[in-house]
Amino acid sequence: MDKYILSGSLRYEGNSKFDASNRFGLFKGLSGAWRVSGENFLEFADWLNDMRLRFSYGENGNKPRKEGMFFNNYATFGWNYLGYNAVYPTNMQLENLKWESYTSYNYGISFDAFDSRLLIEADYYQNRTEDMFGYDVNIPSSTGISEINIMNIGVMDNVGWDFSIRTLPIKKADYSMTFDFNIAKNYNILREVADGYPLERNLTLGNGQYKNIIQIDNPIGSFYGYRYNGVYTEEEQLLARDVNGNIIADPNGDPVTMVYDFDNVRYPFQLGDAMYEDVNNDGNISAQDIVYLGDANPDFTGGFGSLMKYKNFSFNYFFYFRYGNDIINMTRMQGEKMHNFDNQLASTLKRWRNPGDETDIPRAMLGSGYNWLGSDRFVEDGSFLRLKYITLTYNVPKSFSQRMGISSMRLSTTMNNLLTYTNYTGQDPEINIKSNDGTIYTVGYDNSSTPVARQFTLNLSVTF
Amino acid sequence: MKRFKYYVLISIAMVMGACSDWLYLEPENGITVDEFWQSEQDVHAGVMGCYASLLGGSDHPFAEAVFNWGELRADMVAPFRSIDGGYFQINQSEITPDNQYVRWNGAYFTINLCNTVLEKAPPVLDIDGAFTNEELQRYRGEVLTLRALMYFYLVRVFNEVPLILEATTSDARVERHSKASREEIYTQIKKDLLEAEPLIPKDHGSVDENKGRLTWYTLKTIQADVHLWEDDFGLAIEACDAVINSGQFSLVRGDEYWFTELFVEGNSPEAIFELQFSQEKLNPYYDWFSSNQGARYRANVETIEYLFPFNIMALPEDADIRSDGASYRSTDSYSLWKYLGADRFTAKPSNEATSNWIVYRYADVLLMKAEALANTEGGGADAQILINQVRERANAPDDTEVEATDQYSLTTYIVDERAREFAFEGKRWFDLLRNARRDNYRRQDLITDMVLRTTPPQKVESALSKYQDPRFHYFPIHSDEIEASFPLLEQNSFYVTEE
Repeated sequence: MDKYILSGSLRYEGNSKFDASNRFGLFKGLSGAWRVSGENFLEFADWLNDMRLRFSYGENGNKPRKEGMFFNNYATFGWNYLGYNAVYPTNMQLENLKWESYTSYNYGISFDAFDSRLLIEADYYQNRTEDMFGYDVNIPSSTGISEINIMNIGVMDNVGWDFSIRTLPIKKADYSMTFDFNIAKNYNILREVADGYPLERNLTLGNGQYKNIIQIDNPIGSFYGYRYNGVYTEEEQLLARDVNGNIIADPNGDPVTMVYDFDNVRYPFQLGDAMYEDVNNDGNISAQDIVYLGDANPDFTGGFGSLMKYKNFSFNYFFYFRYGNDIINMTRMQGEKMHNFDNQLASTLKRWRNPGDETDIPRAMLGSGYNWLGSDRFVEDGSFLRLKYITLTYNVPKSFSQRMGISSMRLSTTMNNLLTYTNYTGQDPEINIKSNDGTIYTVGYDNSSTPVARQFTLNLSVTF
Repeated sequence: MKRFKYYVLISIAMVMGACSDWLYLEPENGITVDEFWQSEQDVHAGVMGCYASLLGGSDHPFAEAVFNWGELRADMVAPFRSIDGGYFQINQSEITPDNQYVRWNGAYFTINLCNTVLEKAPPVLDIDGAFTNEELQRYRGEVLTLRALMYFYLVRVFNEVPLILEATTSDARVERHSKASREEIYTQIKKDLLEAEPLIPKDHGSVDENKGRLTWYTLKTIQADVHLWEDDFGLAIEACDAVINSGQFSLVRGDEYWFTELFVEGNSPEAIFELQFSQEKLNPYYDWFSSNQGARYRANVETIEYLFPFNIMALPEDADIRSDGASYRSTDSYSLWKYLGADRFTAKPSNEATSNWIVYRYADVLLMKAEALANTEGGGADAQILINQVRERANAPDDTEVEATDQYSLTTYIVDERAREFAFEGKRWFDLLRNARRDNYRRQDLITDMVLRTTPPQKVESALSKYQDPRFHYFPIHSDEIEASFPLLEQNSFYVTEE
């Protein structure tokens, strides 16, 4: 068998989704492996089937989702003016749009021993996405256009490792059992952003908004906002306090009360209002009280499962998990804001109504107030463990099926997404961690898109 | 032989790379820029696009902004059934940079279309032999005037905005811009109007087109308005006279047909420029102003009672025709009747919300001239005559008549008369600001009275202190714009929270 394996590739690709100057891309690839187990010095280890060190380098290119996006297109308005056709450019020419290129370095080790009853794979990777696509990127609307359909917004690295082990601890003539486990960790790091791409958004934090900050050489997906300390239930709490906990007094000696004073709005807090932490102890809830609240990136992801066989029966299951990520539960925010006529969650029934009420849900304020500023009230731990599937299969014995002229017959039942263990209160913790509006700011926002379905399948398969 | 094969492969690759048309795939719907701008018809459609963009097609189009900017800050409207967070803030003088009504997208959408016509239309001369330079210049005149009108609104609302005179046709042209000063913007407006003056048509060939498109007379009216804002009263009078002496316009007679002719049917002899709504594009005002669920605004009763004082002795036929049943309708929850009524008594159905938006009409020219005269030495008597001309048409009662001769009392009179005449026509805030700021804010009291009439009592004190600062008389720039143009675009310093 080969001991040294090396292969390379070169691809030159053109795509009609790009304007003339950036239409073609050249993508290289190289991979190699060293089968250590083929070396003479490992000959004694006859339990070792295969062991190799792997390396690969690959380049790849992504193209825009839609055809013809780069054209400066014209269309008619949906209405005439004075009975005449009215035409306008619907989008601008995208002459600068380039391939989103993807470079990956992968270093791995594979280990296969004891007649493949133990398989281990470990990989470390460094992936870089250059000229990353951003869809519907805001641009100054003074250009006459408020967003660009697609543009190259920056450079992002994804560095991480994954490890998987597959075992077959029991293997007998009538029964057997496997056990598999895998775990992975990924770090995303933003390396560059395009000129003009803002690093901060929502500078002014209104109701419903979290401050979006992205930092070069840091992961994306951090949440910033106010710290929520419940509801003002005592008059005492409305008094502003300095660092030492002493009540702040104005020049006349009267105590100063807590206010939301920001962007020329001055709102004195009252009983029943949301109480935010006055981080800088100045008696004013403002931009200076915004702190780091959490991170959308999981510490680990992984899964485990097993396949058990006994005679004609087999049973398998697979769990997977995400651990250590936070989610902004936007749905709960919308359902507890009590700011307009929208339907609200049942939890608002225990809102603050009268002095003396002890609750953590602020009072209802139609069209006013600051009770739903972006705060950690709506940031939740998104960790979960989910039973992805569980399957029971029965292979009908050939002796039985062949009498009916059937060469093989199998009966099985599968249940998908049956169980989920989580502390998250939204409808499904398995949200798409990627951004939902095509930008790199709003990762980890849960707006209750369709959750994964719980499925029950009964399957009869017959081969003649 | 083997080497030969490589050469073949390499040359194939090079041929494919060199041939740029090889992967040229045009979109299946729409036309590309290379296919458009081929003929006079295309230029015409592009210019109509500039007008059509006033009605919609962007976030906060001009047709909406023109009401929001002119009325929401002022004292003519009051909040109604539907909660409208943006107006709620403005009404309490708590305007933040994320307020939806401070978006300028619509005005710049139109500006960009104007810039596109100015850039793309001239080369059509070489393509379409039937397209003459004279026709081109007529279109240029219209588009330059329209761009000037957009900047005129922007400069009055924001004081300082980016001045963009180049079309954004490609991502290579997307730039962040800093603000131009108020002087630079006014200079550009006046320059564009001056350039357009000999080009723009006086007649587009039909009544509707003369009212729905810009003409030489609109240009003169805009000039008058600009000069009034710049306190160039002599020039303002000159521009007003050009419209008045043209004989092209007259006040609609104040009889029983006055309401229908001026507001329901539109394009009346009094109209100078109106945004043309139609069955294809209904106006947004009906839904905002009706008394239905979802209505946002109604007349501010306090201001109404000030402008049209109730007189128990007066007979119904003595009433000002602009009061109940015209501007508003008291029996219909003080809805803004101008945009709702089929006549003085019955409402239109919502699918007939086709009332035009009147940008300028002849009465405006008369009162602008009166304002210029009032600020000119010895012009008081002539100003009175013009005011009376408008008042007589409206059957204005003696209760609201003022014997004014000096600049101070004439200003009050004209501002009030304009509020009666142009109620809910997007003029009020601009009238108050223009007159208040003259002579180093000599008439700050106009703004103070406005605050007292419109602001909820618990917010009056903070509103008054904010209005003491002239920077607050201009809107903040929307936070999305500040962020998209960071760090070049600076926020109006009033709205910057000090760190």
